[in-house]
Amino acid sequence: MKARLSLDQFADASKCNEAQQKLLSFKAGRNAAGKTVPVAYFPAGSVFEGDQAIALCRTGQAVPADDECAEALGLSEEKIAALQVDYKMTSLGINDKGDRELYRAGVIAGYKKVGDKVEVIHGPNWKAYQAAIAEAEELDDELDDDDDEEGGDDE
Amino acid sequence: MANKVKSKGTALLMEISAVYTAIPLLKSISISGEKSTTYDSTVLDGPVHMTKDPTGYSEAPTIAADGFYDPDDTVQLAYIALMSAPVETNFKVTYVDTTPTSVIYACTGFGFDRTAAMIDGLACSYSIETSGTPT
Repeated sequence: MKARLSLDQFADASKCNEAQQKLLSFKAGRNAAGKTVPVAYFPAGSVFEGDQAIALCRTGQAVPADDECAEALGLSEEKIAALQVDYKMTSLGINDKGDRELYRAGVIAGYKKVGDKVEVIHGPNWKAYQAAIAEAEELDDELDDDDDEEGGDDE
Repeated sequence: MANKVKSKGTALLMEISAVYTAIPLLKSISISGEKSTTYDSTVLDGPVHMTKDPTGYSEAPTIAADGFYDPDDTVQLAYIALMSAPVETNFKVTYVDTTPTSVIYACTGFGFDRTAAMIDGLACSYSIETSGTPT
């Protein structure tokens, strides 16, 4: 019974068994003291086996990698996909309802710190969304102009 | 220069079988109570004001978090299981910054309160006692 991680996941290297050790990777991160240190993680695509495979699928961190796991999980593909999107948002700290809607719509992909601000990471539909906002604003302006003209006639 | 950092993007993760798993539906995370301890070092022939010296030890912080409760959620169930079978478990808090900061807490005490109220969704709060130095 196997499942494959659908995104990078932080690992607790102190709790890894032999099989998990082989999956470990490291990337730079900052610790409590503000020092840059190697941080352990399991890369997306890592395959877990047994009961953990099912558990990771239930949280939305992984997808079944064989029929046995899919059968034991007993969830539709749509449900599995929904769990993954939910989990990805949670792991990115996207808890605001509006931002979750934008994430689902592909408008934002997460947050990043730029200077002293936290900005959104643009998703694949960011440009289309911004274009729609600009279009809506133009329409609002036109409507406002029409209202002003009508108001002018009254005077 | 010190910068204001929004709370947005902060996440609390729990170690489950060596994989850190984000706790869902959180509204707030608070880490408090970390402080160095002192002892009364006043002596009879000392000055007027009483003195205190550091013990060399510090209180470990407590993590508190509020969120919504989903009785069927796998991660919340895994957390709740810690109360019937408590084992030391590592938790990680991740922040959004340029080189992402993440802090690991070894945790030994776990609490979970549920609230059902007319004007709110089914809610829960976590209280997690940490032990030792955060890394």
